[in-house]
Amino acid sequence: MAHGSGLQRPLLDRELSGGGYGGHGDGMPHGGLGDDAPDFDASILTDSPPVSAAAAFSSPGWDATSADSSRRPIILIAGPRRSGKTSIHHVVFHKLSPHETMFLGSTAAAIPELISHNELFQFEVWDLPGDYALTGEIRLDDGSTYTTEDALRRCGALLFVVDAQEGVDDDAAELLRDIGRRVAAHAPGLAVDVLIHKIDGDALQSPEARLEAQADVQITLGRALRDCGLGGLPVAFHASSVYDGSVYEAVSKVVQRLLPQRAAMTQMLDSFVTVCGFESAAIYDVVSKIHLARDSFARGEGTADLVGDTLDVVVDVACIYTSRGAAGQEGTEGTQEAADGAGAQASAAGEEAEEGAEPAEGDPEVDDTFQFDELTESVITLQDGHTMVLRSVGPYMALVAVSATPDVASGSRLGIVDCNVDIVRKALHGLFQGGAGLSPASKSGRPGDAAGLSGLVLPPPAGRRDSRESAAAGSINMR
Amino acid sequence: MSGRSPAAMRKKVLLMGRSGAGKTSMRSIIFANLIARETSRLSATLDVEYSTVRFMGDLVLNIWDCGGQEVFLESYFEAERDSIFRDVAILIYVFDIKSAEVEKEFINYERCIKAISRDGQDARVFCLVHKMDVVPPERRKVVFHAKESEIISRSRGLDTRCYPTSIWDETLYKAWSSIVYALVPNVEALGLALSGLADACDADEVVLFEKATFLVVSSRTRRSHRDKHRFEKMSNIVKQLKLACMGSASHLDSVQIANSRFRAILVPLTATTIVMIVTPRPGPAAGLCLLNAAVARPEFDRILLHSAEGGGAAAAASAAAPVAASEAGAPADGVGASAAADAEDSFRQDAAGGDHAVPAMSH
Repeated sequence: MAHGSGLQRPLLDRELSGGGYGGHGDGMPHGGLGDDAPDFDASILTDSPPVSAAAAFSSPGWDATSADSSRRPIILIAGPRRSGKTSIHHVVFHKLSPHETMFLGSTAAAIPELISHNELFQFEVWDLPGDYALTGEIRLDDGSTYTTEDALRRCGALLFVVDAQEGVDDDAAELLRDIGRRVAAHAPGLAVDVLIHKIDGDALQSPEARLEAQADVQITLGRALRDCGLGGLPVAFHASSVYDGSVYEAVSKVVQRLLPQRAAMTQMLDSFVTVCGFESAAIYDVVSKIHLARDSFARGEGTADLVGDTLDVVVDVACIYTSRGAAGQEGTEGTQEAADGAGAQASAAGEEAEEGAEPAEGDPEVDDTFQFDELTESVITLQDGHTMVLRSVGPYMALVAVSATPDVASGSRLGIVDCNVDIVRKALHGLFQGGAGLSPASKSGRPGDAAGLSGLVLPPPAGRRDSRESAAAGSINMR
Repeated sequence: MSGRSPAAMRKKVLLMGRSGAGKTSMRSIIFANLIARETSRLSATLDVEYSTVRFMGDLVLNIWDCGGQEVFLESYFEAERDSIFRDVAILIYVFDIKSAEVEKEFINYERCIKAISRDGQDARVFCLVHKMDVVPPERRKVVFHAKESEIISRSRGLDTRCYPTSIWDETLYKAWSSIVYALVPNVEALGLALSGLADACDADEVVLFEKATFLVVSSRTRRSHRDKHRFEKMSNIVKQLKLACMGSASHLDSVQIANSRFRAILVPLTATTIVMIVTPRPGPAAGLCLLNAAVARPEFDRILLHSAEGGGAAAAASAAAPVAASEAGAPADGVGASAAADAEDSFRQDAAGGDHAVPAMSH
């Protein structure tokens, strides 16, 4: 797939009004007011044949399971009992509400779970029982067993979760030592990511207490590893909590290491941010809120958590309003309800009836499917001018871009953004087709120039921008 | 915003229940932007904590948060009886589902009911069966209904409504929306104006939220929806986002969310309200809804600010105004995006011409 165009420069309003809309006749004011943007973008601003977003979604490349199961990397979650392993697993990958993690029981046998939201995002998460030191065989909850050697060979990342409130006792240190020995023996080079979890627990309310708890864990575990000659084991520490964005941030960092296409995606986002005038941009797996790549300018610090909340809101609201139920025969019903006096709230009497009428609904939060499709989009504005633009760029993949000024979401500026989003979407599609998805980190340490890059034409360096601009303008004038 | 009506409507809201039931927690979440998990840091309320909340401009809620410890209870029913129970508009009694002393709670509840009805006032009673999150989800309905029937049987025939609540989900918004709905004046005029707006936008539904609390004040549904709890879910969802924005030192302004089936737009309507317009997709363009919201704004301002003067009739008459836009919006119904664009265009002309939609609104 050759994408001759790459990202486009943002065009000034007058350039667009000068000719861009001409071919489309209706002179529809675009952007915040327009309804169906993608078609228009692709046809005007790229010279390759337009691939509509819908086509990209349905093409076989998206859903074919690429790698056979034995090549899919595993993320192992280990650690002492009650440290929060299963909570992390459920909150990140099952969207369990954080406070409900209190109901989770302890894990008796490893629970393997296939995460396969799209072509790019395929791996298994194994939630291991507490205090399990990777000795002997791993017993899965379906009864099968797995040798630790095999598991470690396929292991892309190993999370070691400790409870920040409890600190690290001798048993926990011993556990990490045991695991470290197994890693050194069977998967040299595999990094261990220590999640210093429950960092916002009731015992750690002040920032000082948190820092202290963090330092404590780092020093204790670092010493424990050095004492038994494992000082060379690569270990990274992340503070995390299921109650805020930190657990997603930590897991994102881990998952990104498994992603050979990340460097290409980062470059793509850098260009996107530059040409569209955004502060920051990132591509998210919508289901898990893990970010697969983020621009490298690191200007979005203040809004990182907000982006996670944006994703939540978009998904939650879509869940509510996508499945309306009886939308077909609205005519009579609509007038009936409108005539229904005050009708704003279900009255207490109405409440009774409704409780009885919906036993089938059960607990909707748990079962709702993600209503995320190729036309999913969102714009959220803040009073200080910050604007968040969310666009679908693939199956369960969202591009979220943050601007410090509101004008990106106004009028034709949003049209430019949409057109560039479309290019990102197609480039990502190209990446998946060329790439082999995630690969075990122990084998390909360098995530950069993997197969995915071929076919993607990135924008030229800044010096050559002018010629590109005129080329883009030229393609418009021709129409 | 010119002359705010001086005749603010004051309503006394009594918050009762045993100590630790969660009265202050829920009040803080709804009115003081506390996050659910921060409530563990609240300390017990001593005696009565008064707070005044301005809601929707003219409505002022005087909330008497009555500490639930035994020592205070005795004085509420004896020495302070008159001052506590006089002029109560709403009694909110919070039942703690975790409580081990069920009978004692009921006895106190009956004393409250007795004190209130003895003064011969028409107070409304709302009973919140709280902390439902500790009950396993599959048992919640049974547990709640058992509690509810006992509460009703012990309410001496007073108009009593029960709601299951938890600070961890949207049920809290459901209960409090119902409570404020009982207090907001002029709901009929609001409803009519909302109908006009909904018709003009060819919307599936239009919902009016109070800005600070995100409680639902009024709504109009033109196409039925299977999820009866969606409004309080929206309250909960958007309030979380609002709080997250405040964490980032700013305030939420507007939200647009769409996919291939719907578009939801939340924009400030008046100084104290936010309106949500949900339209089908393909359907009317977002710009149509935004314009109509802007056109309807003065009308809502008028209803809300002059609510004390009972402007119901005038409101009913002028609610027809935004319908003018529906002539433009109507062809978009069920047709593709181009029709929507056309509709939008023609409406924009109307608005630009300025002569028929806008002045009608402002009398």
